[in-house]
Amino acid sequence: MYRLTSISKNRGVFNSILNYQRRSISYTLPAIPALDNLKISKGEYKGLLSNKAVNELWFERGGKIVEDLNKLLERKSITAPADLNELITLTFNKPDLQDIYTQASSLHNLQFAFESIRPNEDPEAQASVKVCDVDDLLKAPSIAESFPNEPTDPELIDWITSSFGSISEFRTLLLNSANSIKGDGMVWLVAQAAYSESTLKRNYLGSNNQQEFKYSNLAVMNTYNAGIVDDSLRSGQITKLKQQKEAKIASLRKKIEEKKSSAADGAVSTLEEEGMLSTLESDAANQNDFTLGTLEEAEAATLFSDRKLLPLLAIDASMRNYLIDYGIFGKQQYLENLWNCIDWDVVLQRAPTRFKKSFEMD
Amino acid sequence: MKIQRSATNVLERTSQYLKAGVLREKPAWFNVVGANPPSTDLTKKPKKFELKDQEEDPRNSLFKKNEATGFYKTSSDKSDRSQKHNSISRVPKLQFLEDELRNVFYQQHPWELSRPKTLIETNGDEYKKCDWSRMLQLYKPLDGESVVQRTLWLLQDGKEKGTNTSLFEAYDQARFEFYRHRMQEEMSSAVSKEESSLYGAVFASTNIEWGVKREQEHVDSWAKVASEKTKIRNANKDGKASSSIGMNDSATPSSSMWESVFESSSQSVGDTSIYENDSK
Amino acid sequence: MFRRQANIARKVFLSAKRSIHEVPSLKNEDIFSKNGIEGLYSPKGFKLAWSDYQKYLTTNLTLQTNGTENELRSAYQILLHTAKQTTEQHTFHFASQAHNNHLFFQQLDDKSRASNTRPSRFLMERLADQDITSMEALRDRLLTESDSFTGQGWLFLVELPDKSLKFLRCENDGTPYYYGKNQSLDLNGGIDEASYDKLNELNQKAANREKDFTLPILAINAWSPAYIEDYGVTGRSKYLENVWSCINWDVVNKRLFQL
Repeated sequence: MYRLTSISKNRGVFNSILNYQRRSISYTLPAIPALDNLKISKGEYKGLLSNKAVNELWFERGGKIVEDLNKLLERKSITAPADLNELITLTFNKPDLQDIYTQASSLHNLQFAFESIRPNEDPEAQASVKVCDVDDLLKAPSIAESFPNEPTDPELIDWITSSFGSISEFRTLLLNSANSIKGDGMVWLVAQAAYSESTLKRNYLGSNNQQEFKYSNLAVMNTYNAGIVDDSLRSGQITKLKQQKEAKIASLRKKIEEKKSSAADGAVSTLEEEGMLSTLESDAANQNDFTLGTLEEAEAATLFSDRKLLPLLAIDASMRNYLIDYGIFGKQQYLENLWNCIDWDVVLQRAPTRFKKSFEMD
Repeated sequence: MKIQRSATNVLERTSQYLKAGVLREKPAWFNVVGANPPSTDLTKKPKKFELKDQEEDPRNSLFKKNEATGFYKTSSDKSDRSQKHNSISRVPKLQFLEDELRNVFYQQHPWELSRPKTLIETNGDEYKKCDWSRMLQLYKPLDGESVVQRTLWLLQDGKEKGTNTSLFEAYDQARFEFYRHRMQEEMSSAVSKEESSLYGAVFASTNIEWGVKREQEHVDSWAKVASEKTKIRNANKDGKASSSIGMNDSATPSSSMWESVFESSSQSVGDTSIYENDSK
Repeated sequence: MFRRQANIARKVFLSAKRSIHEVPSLKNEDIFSKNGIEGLYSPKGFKLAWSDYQKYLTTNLTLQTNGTENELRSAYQILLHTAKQTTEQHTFHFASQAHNNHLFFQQLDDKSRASNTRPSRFLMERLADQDITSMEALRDRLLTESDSFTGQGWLFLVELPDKSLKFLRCENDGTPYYYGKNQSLDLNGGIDEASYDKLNELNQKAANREKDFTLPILAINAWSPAYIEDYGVTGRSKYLENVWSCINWDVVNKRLFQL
């Protein structure tokens, strides 16, 4: 209703990428059988959520995102690809299409998280879906080494063990990461491949080429708000912007020199450009060669640019997920219940073939 | 000195005096004290004789066969003959399980000692507000002491429930709970930082940079002292090698070098006011 | 408000009494917790948004600050002390949220009472410099800005050192008091040149140790706990409309004059 209406400035660029078509596609809320059944039966999502919560989190919120997404696409007269993932990849690098990207990736994340879980049929589980109070915040943590609903597939167990040490360590890492997110965000289990080790060189649009990557280890990572897993794109952006700025400075400098050398009547405009140059340079001054870069810069330069991530499992740690059934103090309880609802079969389906290095570094 | 215990014997002695006719009238306090005798003996007991760990008389071990070695002891040795009166009235060493647990914990986790600890207490009764059925307390930071107290609670709880928890099990349970909380806090700190920087938060310097900078101040002043000391040491060596005359006058600095360093730096730093006052 | 806090701080310091962080009491708290805030919250909604959430924040704040130098400080002081510390951002979160939420609830009142209050002429004159000339314009601006968060956030009307007013969007737990932690950007998606420049500018300011004298005079809460109970997951727009009609402008006017 009060959403900002920023009008796309360079629609033409976007359309040329998309091979401008006049066929309009509107998205619909994806069908997840477990949830759709609940809508009809008015039952609970066993061991995790009440019917009211499912209704609000999936049908109402999901419906609203879809509606907003379609409205935005229509308003900007953009013909979107049928595949949501493709829309996300296409809009990611376009700041003026940020609102479309946000809705699209929110929808993707929501769907991904709900598809990673299944109801927990354990009859005792339903009792743990209850409003927690302040004492639950101080409760002594469990120090158990084994938990219900651990993965059973030996290969997955082996992969998790070699990446995290043990299933229990993995569970602690996953749930602690989720518990630490303060605002909206998701925790992901991802398979990681290095571009440098893969046979294919990096290719942003090549989602069909996934099989060629050599996924060697698993990792846990967080995304916030409408962030997506493959953030190598984002860190690439900052470098790109930096390069753009440097190029701008260089071209200005060149112009000034040309004018100086050509004629004296250019003096007025040269002054103007020199002013521009000095402001630009002062902007870039704090990143001069004398200071050692920050840790983040180092990471951006090496780590992020050389990794390809494939999401296997998502946990939604945003407040709205537990506020309805567990109350403000119930995040830990919600996350523990969520662990018991993880559908490892789905995770296994999503998992790529594991690439084992011929020798171990340690 | 003879052990004084007249204070506790006062009733007994007074009644003897009354019987013997030394005192004619009962003192006013006599019946009261008779009805409520002092419940604890406040006198200091000679440790060696009245407490349990009394040593044997060295004479008793003479001319007896030592079972372990098969030899006979025929004369008392030096320690037997030594004067041991001092140890008689020594206060026995206080021993608590808590202390042993603390020792073990901090031996295993030496870096826990480097965490700052507040010494301020409002009434000194914060411990009363703690409930050790859980690890986290509202009135007390999470630290090694929490592990100790939680261990004791688990031990007691095990006794009451009859689960027969051993000290080792209780300590491990407390320790692992402690690790869990520390892990969670560390993760919370790291994730919060990452999260806020993705919303455009900027930090002028990291904690590590700040730490290095603070350390460098001290390293710099130490470097001055060290170079001076090295000079002196080298001068001493040279002096010994060439001649021994006047060695002492030349090599000893007039005052502590640390003082002069701090004096010079205190003017610039400003918050080392103690040194400033000393120099003025 | 800040003078009052300084006084409290002095008192606390003098007596140096250790204690834990507690939920502050609101002016009409008894009535609110019994009847809710008319026109905005049901009793249950008020309990979640204020009583429970503030309890959650202060308890966590106690756990994080116990036995540290922040123990005796108010939430406001803690957020200032931890804003620049990279390893204390979780403490900052609880302090900043506790302070912001208190700021927000101080200015709320029953609709019937709130509707009798108006922004002062003085306030509207200052807003006119921002091209906000009428109450309707102010309402539209306020609702548009506060409903544009992708996730959680705060919208502040702040007063700058030159006494001009400005709307400040803070994503998540951002604070208006320090530019380095305003958190007005969302870098989770594409980054445009404007945000890149803004980030560089902030870095530059932080490197120069520039000070920030911005003060908030109005806070709007766009966090889930503030509306999920009464308005549902998707009910933020409706909630924000109701917030508008429950703002007690007398409180806001006072903040402007007192500073």
